[in-house]
Amino acid sequence: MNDMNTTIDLSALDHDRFKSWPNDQDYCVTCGLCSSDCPASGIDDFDPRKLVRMVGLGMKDEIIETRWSWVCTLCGKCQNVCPMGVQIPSMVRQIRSMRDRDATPGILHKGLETAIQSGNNLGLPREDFIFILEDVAEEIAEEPGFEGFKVPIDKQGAGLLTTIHNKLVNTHTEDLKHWWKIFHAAGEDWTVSSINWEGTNWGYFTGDDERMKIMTERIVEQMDRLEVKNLLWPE
Amino acid sequence: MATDLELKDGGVADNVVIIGGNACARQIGEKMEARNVPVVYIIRETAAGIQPGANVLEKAGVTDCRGGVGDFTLSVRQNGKRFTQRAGAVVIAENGDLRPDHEAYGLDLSPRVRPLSEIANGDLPDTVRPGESVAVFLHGLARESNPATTRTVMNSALTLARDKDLKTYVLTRNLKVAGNGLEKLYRSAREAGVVFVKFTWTAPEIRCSHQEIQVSFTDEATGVLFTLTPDVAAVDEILAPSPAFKQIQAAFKLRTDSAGFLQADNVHRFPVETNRKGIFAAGPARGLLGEHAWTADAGAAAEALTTVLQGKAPDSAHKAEINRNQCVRCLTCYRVCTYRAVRIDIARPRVIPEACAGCGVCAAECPREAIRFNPYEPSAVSAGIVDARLERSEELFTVAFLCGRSAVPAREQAFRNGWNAPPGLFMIDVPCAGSISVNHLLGAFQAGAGGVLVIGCHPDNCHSENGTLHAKSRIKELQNIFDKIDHPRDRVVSASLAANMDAGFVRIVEEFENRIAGFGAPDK
Amino acid sequence: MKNLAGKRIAVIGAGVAGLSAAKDLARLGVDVTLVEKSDTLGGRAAGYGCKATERCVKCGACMVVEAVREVEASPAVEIRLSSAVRAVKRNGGHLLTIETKNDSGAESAEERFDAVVLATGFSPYDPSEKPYGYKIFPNVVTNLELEAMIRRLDRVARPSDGEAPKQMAFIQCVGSRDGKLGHLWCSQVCCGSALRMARWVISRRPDTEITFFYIDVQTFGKDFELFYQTVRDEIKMIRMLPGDLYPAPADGIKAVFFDPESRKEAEMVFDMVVLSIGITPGRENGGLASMFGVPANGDGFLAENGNGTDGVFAAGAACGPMSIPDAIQNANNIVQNVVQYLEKG
Ligand SMILES: Cc1cc2nc3c(=O)[nH]c(=O)nc-3n(C[C@H](O)[C@H](O)[C@H](O)COP(=O)(O)OP(=O)(O)OC[C@H]3O[C@@H](n4cnc5c(N)ncnc54)[C@H](O)[C@@H]3O)c2cc1C
Ligand code: SF4
Ligand code: SF4
Ligand code: SF4
Ligand code: SF4
Ligand code: SF4
Ligand code: SF4
Repeated sequence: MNDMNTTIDLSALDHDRFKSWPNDQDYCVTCGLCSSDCPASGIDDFDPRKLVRMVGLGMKDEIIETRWSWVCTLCGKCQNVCPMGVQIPSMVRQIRSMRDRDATPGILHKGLETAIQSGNNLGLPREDFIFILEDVAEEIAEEPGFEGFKVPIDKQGAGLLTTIHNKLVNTHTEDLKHWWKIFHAAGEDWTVSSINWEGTNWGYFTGDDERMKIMTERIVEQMDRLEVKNLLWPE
Repeated sequence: MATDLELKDGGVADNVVIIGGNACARQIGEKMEARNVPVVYIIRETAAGIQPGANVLEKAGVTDCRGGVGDFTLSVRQNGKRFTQRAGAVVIAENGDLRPDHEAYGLDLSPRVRPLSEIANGDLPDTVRPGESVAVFLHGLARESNPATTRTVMNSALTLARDKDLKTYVLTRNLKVAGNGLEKLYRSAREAGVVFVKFTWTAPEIRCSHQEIQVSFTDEATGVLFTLTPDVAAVDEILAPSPAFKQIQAAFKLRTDSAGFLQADNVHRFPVETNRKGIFAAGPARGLLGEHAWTADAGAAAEALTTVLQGKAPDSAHKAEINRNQCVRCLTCYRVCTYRAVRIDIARPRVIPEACAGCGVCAAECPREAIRFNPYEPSAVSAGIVDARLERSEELFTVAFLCGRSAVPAREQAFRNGWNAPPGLFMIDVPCAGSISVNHLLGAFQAGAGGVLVIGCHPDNCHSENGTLHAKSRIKELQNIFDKIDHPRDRVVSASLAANMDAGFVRIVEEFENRIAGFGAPDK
Repeated sequence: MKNLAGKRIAVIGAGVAGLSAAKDLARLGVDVTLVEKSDTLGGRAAGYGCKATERCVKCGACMVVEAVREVEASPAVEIRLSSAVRAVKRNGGHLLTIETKNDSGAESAEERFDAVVLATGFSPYDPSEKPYGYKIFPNVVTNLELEAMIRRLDRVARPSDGEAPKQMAFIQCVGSRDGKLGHLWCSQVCCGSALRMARWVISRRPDTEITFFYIDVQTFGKDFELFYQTVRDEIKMIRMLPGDLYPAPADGIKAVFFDPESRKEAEMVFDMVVLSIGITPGRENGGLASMFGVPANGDGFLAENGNGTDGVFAAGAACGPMSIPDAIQNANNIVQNVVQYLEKG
């Protein structure tokens, strides 16, 4: 759809094509609140109102072809402000799921494949993961007030299990420290699993419901294994 | 037939004449007949649709209307015959013309290009095939539409999409949903598959050849270029005054709005009044579209007729009266009376008290001072000003003439808000700013006023239509005199107000007082 | 007219609809008791200013003053301010318990009426839940507050410093045309109200820059086409509603929106933002509906003809969004129905 100059016969489109979607796109009155509020509006010619309109008109090829559904961060602001309750994030996910799996943007597709195989999007082996966590814990222990800090990996019967976003063990280890310090200060009895710890769910993100379920079930399995009742899933 | 109404004293005709035979006219007639008020319909066409037994003058028209409430005499022409018809009160509910607006889109009417009402009645070309054909509504693109037309468009589009399974498109600018239930109808139409395309800074291009109509446009929400090749296109109809309106207007001497509908665009006429007491305009005659609005208007008209026939409508306390000995028959009074209360009897003007609204404009305009308008005679008013001057010790004495419909209520509210009038100011309440003559103004200056303020209604809000304009032209007249004698012309000031402008009233008076204080007290 | 003398009607609510009904009934010789909850006559529209520029723009607000004056002068209308109906009994007529507040508390009395007209009006939408910082940013006001400024001050003043705003914005449809709130209706009057006020502001201070954010501009008035042309010359019309408002220096307000023409995110800073809040069902409609046995529609407005056959009628904005002229016309029509009912009985 980058070439907007081609002319389309409007009546040749099947406007009923997405009627079965439960996203209420037909309720849109084109007020534009969603586009005004969306953090991704204007990026790559995207804005949510346009997407809603194209779904309403049944422009299937065009919406699958563009990058727009991938520009959306699924933050949900649009739906929050929409006076007609159009469920835009859910619509975006449905559009994503219509793409051939191989045509989803490279990194997402690859990440999801890796996660299904290894338990995390980075394909990080268990030992390396434990090493990184302990390394971060040592750094914390050097700070005043956190003397003797240890990271409780695989602690049976802890009060709280937390998942971890892959970027926190990759590029953003500083952020790990913030979380852990809060747990420490709050006296929380917490733990982290050494396997299937991945917090992002690119199955959800790409609209692949089947794989989303697999990823989710794996986390629940860890809760059962470690006999933890509460889950913190910050993503 | 004896009416149940207790007639107004002196009323001689107890009946209602209804001009027109449409649904609005019929509803009014039925309501009045239910009250045993005799009804006469005067209809241009045939009496089709009117309940049997009704008193109908069909293929007839009114050429003149004389008299006042309770005693109108209409001149009627029917089949080349002329006769008179008495009426206690008259209501005009004549039909306007629904004109298809195809020319605005550069289209000719054809089997494919149809006026909206035909499509609304299910009248489709034979070429239209369910499940395949495309229907386009060109709606409010050339000029802004209105909720009544939008209701028809959405109802018809919904029917075509749902029942005929046509691909249906509504192309419009601002979608007019300001009517009961229209937002819901808009949603239902979309759910049924109707696609709405709204234009703001772009407009569709419409091309038409023998074979097809092609509409191309940019959908503003997506930026996508689309085309449509409709099998049928519906064009809006606009309501325009029919040719008969001009004749009715002339016969009844009614003020019209800018388009020519039979009610001036003045809030004081809401909902069914005209400039003539006892003559009402309802439904299409005053430019209303849609049966729903007609029904409410019919009720309002029946209510107004009932009130007026019983003489229970509020009447003005004061009436103008012509002194025939002084009159030179210039007929100025006849021309300026908005309410058409001056009648010419054998070339002599006479004021019909029932019709007079007591505005005093005629008295102020009469070049011979032949019209008495008690108690606002210039001599009496000037005497009052002299007394007021004597009562006041302030060096600066000012006079304000206040219109009873706008400035007086505004001042009353200002008092309630705690306003204190400047001690040197003398205020005179008059029924209409148009009743102030040059003599009134001069009287104030002669009594020693340093400045004179005249406050009337805003243009288009004046009950007597031109009162403020008359006042302004008299002030100009006086200012020209001032210029000649080297007196500051701005010692006389005019302003306009609405009844709810108490704060505005205080501001205007303050500005006036400051300005006059700047000039100082006048020379003795 | 048949036996109307001696008939007693209670009109509940003294907005323009109730006043019109009361004055029309009184003209016909019916005894009217006008029951008004607040301590003044005129209802909401009594707080609106005149928006005339070089001429009257037919907002209808001054008609309310006219109606108040006629009712106050009418001997056939008994005005009960600070009063409300507490109970209703059906006993031949309508037996109403009317409670009137006074300095020492309240007193109630039971009175019999032949028919009742409910003209209790509407409740304006409370925009606090919208992301527009109402009651947080001092210079975000509602259209009703702007109307009141025009009426009381005869000028527009920023709440924060009393200065005249130079950059003003109107945001339309706040709380109307909103399916999520269950408000699937257009309030019908706010486009007209906003555009008339905007033009009034410009006529007073021609250097004021005004931006109007909207979905569809609704038609109002007979000369709308002409009015709208002028509006488009004088006012920046943007067919898009802004998402969030943020504080800006000097008590300004920053609006962030998607510019529909350039298709880019845009922002503008205003001195004052006016939220065009709409008409919602009167808060007491539910209670009134059950007390008087009048049906309310799915949106919460009262049925226009009340329960007609039983002598309880409803009129004005209690029945749905309605302008002042519409409310007057509606009241006239309802009076006609009341009279028919009384004639039968
Ligand atoms: C922001 C805004 C701007 C508007 N601007 C315009 C405009 O420019 N032009 C225009 O034509 N229209 C305008 N309107 C519409 C206008 O306000 C209404 O048409 C009008 O107020 C309706 O009158 P009403 O008598 O039906 O109701 P209201 O004005 O609401 O009056 C109802 C009265 O009933 C009283 N009441 C309520 N409940 C009870 C009870 N239980 N017992 C006793 N009394 C009770 C209330 O105190 C009130 O006095 C505007 C509306 C809004 C919201
Ligand atoms: S969910 Fe997507 S479309 Fe909606 S606001 Fe967030 S980024 Fe924009
Ligand atoms: S906010 Fe909702 S109604 Fe408005 S344009 Fe977006 S999807 Fe449509
Ligand atoms: S304006 Fe005066 S002089 Fe002229 S016709 Fe009328 S009354 Fe006579
Ligand atoms: S006072 Fe006014 S209404 Fe009466 S006759 Fe003179 S101009 Fe006409
Ligand atoms: S109708 Fe409105 S604009 Fe016209 S004078 Fe009255 S208050 Fe002013
Ligand atoms: S009148 Fe205008 S602002 Fe009010 S709800 Fe309707 S479209 Fe929105």
